[in-house]
Amino acid sequence: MNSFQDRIALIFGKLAGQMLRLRRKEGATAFPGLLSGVISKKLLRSLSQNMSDGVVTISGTNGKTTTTNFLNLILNNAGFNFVTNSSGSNLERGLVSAYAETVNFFGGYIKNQRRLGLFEVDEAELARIFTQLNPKISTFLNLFRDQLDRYGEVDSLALRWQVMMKDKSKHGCIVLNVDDPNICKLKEYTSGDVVTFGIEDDNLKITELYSVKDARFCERGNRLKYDTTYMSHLGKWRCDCCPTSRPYPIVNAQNIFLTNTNSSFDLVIEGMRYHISIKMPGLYVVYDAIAAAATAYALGIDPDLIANSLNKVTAPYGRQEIFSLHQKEIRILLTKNPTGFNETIKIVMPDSESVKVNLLAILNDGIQDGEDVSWIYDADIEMLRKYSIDLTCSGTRASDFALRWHLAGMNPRVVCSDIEVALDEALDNVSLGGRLDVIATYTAMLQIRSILLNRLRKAEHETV
Amino acid sequence: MKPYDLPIRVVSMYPDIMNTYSDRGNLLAIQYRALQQNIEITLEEVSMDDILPQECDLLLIGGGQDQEQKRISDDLIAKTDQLQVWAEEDVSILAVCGGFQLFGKWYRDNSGNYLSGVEIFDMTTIAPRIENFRAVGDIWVTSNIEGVGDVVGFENHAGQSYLGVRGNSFATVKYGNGNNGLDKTEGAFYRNAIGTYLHGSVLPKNPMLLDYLLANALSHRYNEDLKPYFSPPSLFVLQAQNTAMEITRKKSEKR
Repeated sequence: MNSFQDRIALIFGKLAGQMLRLRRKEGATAFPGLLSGVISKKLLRSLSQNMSDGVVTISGTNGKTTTTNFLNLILNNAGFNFVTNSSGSNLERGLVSAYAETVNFFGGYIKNQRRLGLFEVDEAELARIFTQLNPKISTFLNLFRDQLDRYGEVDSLALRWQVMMKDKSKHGCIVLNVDDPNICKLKEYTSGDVVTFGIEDDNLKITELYSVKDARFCERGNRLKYDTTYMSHLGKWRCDCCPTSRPYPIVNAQNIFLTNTNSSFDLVIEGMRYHISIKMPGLYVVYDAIAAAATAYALGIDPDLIANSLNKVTAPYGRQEIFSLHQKEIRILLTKNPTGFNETIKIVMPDSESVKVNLLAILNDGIQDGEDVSWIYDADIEMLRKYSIDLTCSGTRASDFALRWHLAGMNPRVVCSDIEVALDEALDNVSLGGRLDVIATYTAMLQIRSILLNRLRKAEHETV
Repeated sequence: MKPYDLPIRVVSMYPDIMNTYSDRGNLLAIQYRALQQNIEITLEEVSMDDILPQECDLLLIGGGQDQEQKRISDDLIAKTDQLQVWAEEDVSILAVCGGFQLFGKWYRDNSGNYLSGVEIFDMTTIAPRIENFRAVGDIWVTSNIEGVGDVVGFENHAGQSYLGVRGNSFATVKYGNGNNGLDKTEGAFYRNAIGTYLHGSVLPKNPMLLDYLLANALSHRYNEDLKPYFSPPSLFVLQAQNTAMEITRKKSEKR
């Protein structure tokens, strides 16, 4: 089935994967794919074709990894035999890495192979590999401004998705977040099945005073109107001049209740109602959960099983992941764009002004973080102004971050580009039994995670 | 007693549309510095179909995507006369990126459409039809305006701007691309109007440029050449500027 060239590529990819596993290098999951990806470009198509149950893609600016992780659990519980790139390695080479595990060293497919591919795909990469993947189900989460230096502007990304889907009859089912006007529009680009999801909760209102919005006009150039706004430009929108408006979502969340550590809501799937409680805070967790539910529903999974699974999910790699070290809790909050930043701020915001918040804010300007750090000005961190905050700033752009907090009226106690030193400084001021919240860009998240894992290992050694 | 009795009237143009490159940071910096210097500020946000106020001391316009530039174009043309009068009256103006492009004579976007500009700067901009060149990266320039000094930020633009014979560049490029990547010019200035590609946001970490804009706004408000005293900038400001310059230099030398 696969060519000689593909086989060579796969063997290289597989070897690299084994080597990395031996060296226990966390987060380097794209490397095997990078190796084999340069050797054969047709590999992806050939691998996708081998998935007899098809391919599911999850794409969008925010929530890819968490949604994929939620689906991972649902699919496991439903008895699916699948392969996934759940560690957030979502470029073409990350997908090839995941596939490489389904073949043996001779490049042949392993017997009892996994039949479904569940992949989160980088939003800019999706258009390039959409036809190769030929997904049976493609889920579209949202489009926010993010790393303008790498992805370009939101408009051009939305347009690229429309062009990618112009051949209406050729794709499978699409799963759409109708609260995002750019995503909702994609329903015009298919003649196949559409499963919609969104939030139906009029009591839920956006709390930040300022939020940057990215899709605000209809095709005729009139401003969209919002009956309720949930987050950035997501909400119950309508247009007075166009026939298109936000439909009532088939899968939706109602009666949402959020705390600092938990999200609960009613999950409604075509009229059936389930109570969901997830030990992860933040409105975006609700969006990720209903996205996973809608995708699972599109796969034909029983709603009872979907709801049961969602009640058991935990935080994935670096996304609200919690580490416990020397009687102090450290929670990592991956933050990479203004909308995500606003949600992070709401998560760390305490219930009362008397509660002290310990924050370590790390801003890196690597290619994966976005070299342009100006997005920190588009988040409403002024929301935290009235609280008592012990703040440490770190990362390659520690001083840019420090200035941003200073302008919002909060002066960092320590500014230090070295993350390990900054972590110690920040932890010093956390009381026993207390928590340090780490706001981190992508590479900063990888760094802090690896530091914490090392320390955990050391701590285990000491106790043994 | 307050050193200044009269508030500075700040006008922010299209804050809901031309806000692509964190242009809000510039307003935050102005509000922060004004508070520090006991300068009172009144802010008026003017968007599509709104009327410009009678008076203005400090005008801000930010960057936008091609589609957004097109969206505001007609509205902006309708406001041109007043904007030109303000520029002649020495109103303090900062136009960034897409806003800077539209304050020139014209802008040709990548589909070949021409958008007329406000013509405050003798400058034209062309976005190449095939985007093979896009100026993206950290940038460090030295201003040609006395007292503004070195300015650091981030640029991200496909449009290439060229100054006409009456055009003055805001700055000379030290590291980065600037107007067109060829002639080392960055931005433009005319009287007290400044146009630049730098965001980052540019005002928070470039205190001399920030104070220059505020001083001009004060002069306009009081109809006299005030030499206001500004306290030294906070260490957070200086640190951010220094680090950004260091990073810009290092990244440029690597390229």
